[in-house]
Amino acid sequence: MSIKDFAEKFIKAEDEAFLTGNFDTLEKLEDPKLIFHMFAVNQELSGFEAHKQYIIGMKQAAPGIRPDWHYLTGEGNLFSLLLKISVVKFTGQVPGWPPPTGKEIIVSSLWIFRINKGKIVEGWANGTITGLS
Amino acid sequence: MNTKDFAEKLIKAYEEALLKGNTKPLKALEDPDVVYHMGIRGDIVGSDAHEQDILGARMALSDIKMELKYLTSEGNLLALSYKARYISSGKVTGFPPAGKEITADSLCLFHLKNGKIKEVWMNA
Repeated sequence: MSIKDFAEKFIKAEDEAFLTGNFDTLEKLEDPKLIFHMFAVNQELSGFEAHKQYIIGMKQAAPGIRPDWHYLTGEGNLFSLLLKISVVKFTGQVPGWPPPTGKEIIVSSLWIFRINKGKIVEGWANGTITGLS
Repeated sequence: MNTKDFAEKLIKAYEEALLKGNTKPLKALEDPDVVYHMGIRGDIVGSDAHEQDILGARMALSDIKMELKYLTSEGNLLALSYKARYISSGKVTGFPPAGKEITADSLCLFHLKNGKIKEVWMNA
């Protein structure tokens, strides 16, 4: 599988997790001990389970939320995606985020993923989140 | 030169450009037609335009404190994190009033071709 195919599979798995709550495909693509460095919210997620709980938290805080991922580039074991989330009112608490404001939140962030043995082992993300305060 | 060595050279070139205004080492690492995708700031096309952007920032900002860190690389891709604090000089329209502190926190992905930076994605 090419790195672009892997990235597209990840995007579909994220959609499935957010839209249907089914994490099976995502779990197959992520190492159980992965680490996500999320600079914009000054947070690190360690492990697939933490990522799963983070997504569940976001779904509860903003029902109907859907990430809009775009593939940017990839080579070898690295690929990069752009994430956009907009016109979502967060009314609940996202783990690690400030208390909800009820305002529209617009997220635009750059993600870089590193895979090892066919699984995502590390990710870095940074971007802008408006409406948090 | 491997990609990590290139990254270290790039970090030094950025420091030279932003802290001292010497853009030569950075331009030497860039393809003339390099494209910087700067998120909400839009695209910067060409190494000359990037040089002007840096020199413009140096006019608008003072007391620049910056830290670039190597994150990872693979083949022709390399990732850096960029954190900086500046004080607005108040000299450039569109920037905060003089004396106001500005912070930057970015993730940068560089794509190299033929040993030069060809395309860059940053959240700015």
